[in-house]
Amino acid sequence: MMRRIKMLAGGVSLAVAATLIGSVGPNPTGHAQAEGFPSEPIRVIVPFKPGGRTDVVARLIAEKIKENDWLSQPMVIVNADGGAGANAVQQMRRGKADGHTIIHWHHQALIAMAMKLGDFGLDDFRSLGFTGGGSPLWAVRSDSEFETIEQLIDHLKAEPRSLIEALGIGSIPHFVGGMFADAAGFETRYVTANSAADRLRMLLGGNADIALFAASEYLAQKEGLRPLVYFGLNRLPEMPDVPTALELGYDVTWANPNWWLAPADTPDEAVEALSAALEKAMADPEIVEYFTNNTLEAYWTPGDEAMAESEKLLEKLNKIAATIQ
Amino acid sequence: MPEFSRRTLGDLALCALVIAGSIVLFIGASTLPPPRFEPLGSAAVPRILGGILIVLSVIVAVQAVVARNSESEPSPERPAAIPYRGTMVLIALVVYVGALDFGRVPFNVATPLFVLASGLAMSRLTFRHALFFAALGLGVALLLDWILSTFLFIRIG
Amino acid sequence: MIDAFILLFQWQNLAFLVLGTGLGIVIGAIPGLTATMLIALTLPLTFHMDPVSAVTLLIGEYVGGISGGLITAILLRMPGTPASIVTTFDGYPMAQSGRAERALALGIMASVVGGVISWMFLASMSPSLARFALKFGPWEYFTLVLMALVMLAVLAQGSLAKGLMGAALGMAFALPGIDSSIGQARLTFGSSTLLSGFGLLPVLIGAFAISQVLRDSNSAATDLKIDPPKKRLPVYWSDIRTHGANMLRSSVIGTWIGLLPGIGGNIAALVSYSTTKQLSREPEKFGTGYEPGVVSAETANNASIGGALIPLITMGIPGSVTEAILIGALTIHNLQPGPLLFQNAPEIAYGIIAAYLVANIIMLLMMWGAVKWIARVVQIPRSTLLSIILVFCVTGSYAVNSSFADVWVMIAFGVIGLGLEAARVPLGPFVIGFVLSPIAEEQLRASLMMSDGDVTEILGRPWALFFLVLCVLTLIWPVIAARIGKRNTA
Repeated sequence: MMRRIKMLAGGVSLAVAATLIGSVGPNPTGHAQAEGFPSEPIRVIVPFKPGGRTDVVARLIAEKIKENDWLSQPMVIVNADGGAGANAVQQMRRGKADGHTIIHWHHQALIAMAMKLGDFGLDDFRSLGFTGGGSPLWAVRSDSEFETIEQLIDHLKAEPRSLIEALGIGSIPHFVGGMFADAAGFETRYVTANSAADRLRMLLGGNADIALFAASEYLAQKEGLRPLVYFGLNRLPEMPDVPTALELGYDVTWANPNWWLAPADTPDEAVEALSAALEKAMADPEIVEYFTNNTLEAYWTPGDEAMAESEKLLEKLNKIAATIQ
Repeated sequence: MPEFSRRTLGDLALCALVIAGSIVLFIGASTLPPPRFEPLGSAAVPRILGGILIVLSVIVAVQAVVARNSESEPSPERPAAIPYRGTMVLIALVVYVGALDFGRVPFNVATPLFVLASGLAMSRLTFRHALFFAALGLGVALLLDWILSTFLFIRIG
Repeated sequence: MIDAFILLFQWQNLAFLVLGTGLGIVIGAIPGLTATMLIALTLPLTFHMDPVSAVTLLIGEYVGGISGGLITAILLRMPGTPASIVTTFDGYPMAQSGRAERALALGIMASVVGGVISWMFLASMSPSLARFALKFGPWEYFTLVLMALVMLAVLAQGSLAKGLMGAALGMAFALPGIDSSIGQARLTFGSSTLLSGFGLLPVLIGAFAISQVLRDSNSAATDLKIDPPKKRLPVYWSDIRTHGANMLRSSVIGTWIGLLPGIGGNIAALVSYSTTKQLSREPEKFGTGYEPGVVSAETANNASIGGALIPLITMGIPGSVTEAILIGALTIHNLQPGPLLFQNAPEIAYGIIAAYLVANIIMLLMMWGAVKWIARVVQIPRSTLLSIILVFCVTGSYAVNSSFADVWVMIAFGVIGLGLEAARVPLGPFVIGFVLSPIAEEQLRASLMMSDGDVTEILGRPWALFFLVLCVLTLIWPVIAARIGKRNTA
């Protein structure tokens, strides 16, 4: 209880301080990187409901940055779920393009663009960088007749559409599975399962045969599941026996990075300050520990590189989207 | 049309609106992609619902017209109803949200004004009431703003 | 398990549980603010706590939040949470006829009984129940939701055609947005605001709270009459006889429906309410302030929490956003709910189970002590109460997604709700149709996707068939009941 009171008191005094200082001028105590930015709390919009990975990572990093005063103002997380991110982008547009309103997303953003869901594209954003990410895998039930991915592919080639894949159409599992099916030349039947929880439920209950999970989701569950193929660049140390699609000769990888985005017109000064703080956070041992424990890779990709990578991927996704629509 | 009571007219208006709505459903459904992953597709449910709504509207309309003579019970409206009050509160609400959304009026300013307006609309117009509602609105606004900004980090506006 | 209780009674854990339950009740009782929002808010605070305290705080908020919703549902006909929509059907008429305290007391008792009975299921047979629930695929989900939709027809009062129209209109309003079966926009007419559809909370607050405020403000001068607070609350030993069977049945229905991820407390309440009505000797009294109606709705929605915790703890499958956040809170502490939780962190797994029971008891004590005073909320001058409620509604709708679009949706549905009531189209079926039809459609289309368009696959699924038979029975039961009634009187 004491701890809580202290924390509440801390939060209150911080907020009071923030408003006081905000009205007087730049924060004198912050050994900030640039003068003038940030002059008010930075709103980080997460286009999902609270509780998911993107949300939790954003909150962790924001907390770390606040703790170490890497930015003179706190980062606050705002959840804006809905409309495949359209809601979040609208929120971003409501704020000024001065770096005080940014988005923390992942490559589902590219899928929304490829599916032409919202009225936004890459031109609307300035990339701040990737703060780590993780890759997914394909799993079957542990009592399944398929021990390896080759057996599964052979079976599907012999009897097309004989197995059911749980996925949300137009979501990451659909695109990753679609790329893999294209590369290996097979076809599955689909059943709608729009969340990881739904996919797990379907697979374990015998209502689907194949489902895609983040490696961390698999490692937390393990029981009842058998991973067949991993869509990362290299095998994971936690599952040394699971091959990557790449080493089997299929050019299919998916690294779902945590992507920080600002409005396109954000000034350089703000972008630099934010990127610097994010980069420092990614080097922090506690953050690295959380990432490793959740089989996420903790890395930092600067904004321009992240944007170039994403542009390339979007082209690929556009091709797949054309076959769906 | 003197032979139609208010209730019958209300029912007919409802049916007209619902039929208009189902036409919107049909128009919207006509632009949807054809079924691809399963036989129903996106457009089936809007069409089915549109059809059901039209059928129900026709039934309700027929019932209303047939029953218009046998209507005996007087509608049990509340006696002391002052209909303009609700309208005033609604207008106040729309102006309030409009001010917050488009006008970007600060929450702590708009809320006391709104509580003042809606409170007075529902009670007698005296100076003491006005003072009370303004103070109440300010109190509620400050409290909510404090809770939202401190714990939820939500800024209204 | 006993260790878990001992751990729970360490003073700081108990304090967090009390704090969480209390906060939950208050937030749950305010129209526009829900348990989910509260839990999302407190999530960052739990980063710094030890995991047991974090879990007790969140469980307390969850239980308190669902229970608190009954207060405003009964007193003002404004369900504080979606789970208490059904409670308004009989609770509000009871309050209007001066039996507010009795309705509240019954609601609280029912909530606790539902909570405790579902706790017994949770504590004793979690793994086997979870395995059972897992077998449910799209066909079973579809037929279950279809059954709930058919039950709406039973609920319809007055004109059957208008009841069905209300339900169909609610379903139609659920259509715009991203079609979850194909991930593409539907009926958005090019608007990116409509892309996220009409949110449940704005629609619910609009249709119930806003329209009720607008209606009440017309008659602001006349305040409700209410009995003066009695020395003791109006709950009697005889209630065990009159309501015991109902509570037991509703608890089982609630737990059972709660087991299925994605199917919430509102469906549990609806199904148990209609079942109770169907089995009742006086079905015509439902909706007019009949005690069994309040009892069955409140028992079932609380029991559904216990049910929903089962797949959460044993499989790591969240049934709602609230539970997804709970999982998020655990992952921060490097704990992942799932089969491994009982091995890796038994103090958490059993801690959740123990906290759920104690939270229910704390909820009882708190609401019991406060109910006399809560009931007097209706004596606050309407002009004051309604103005404040409007501010809460605006703030609450906005806070869900920090979006003014939601606030406008709320106002629009307030006007729609007012219009529907004026035309005697019931709001209950409207809102429930809105909630249920997306699930029904998605599951039906998933079934067809899975079976390659073959409808006969349903014949191989006993539970789906069972629900279908129940659908048919629900439809023809009134006819049979009337026959039996005639024969008895003849």
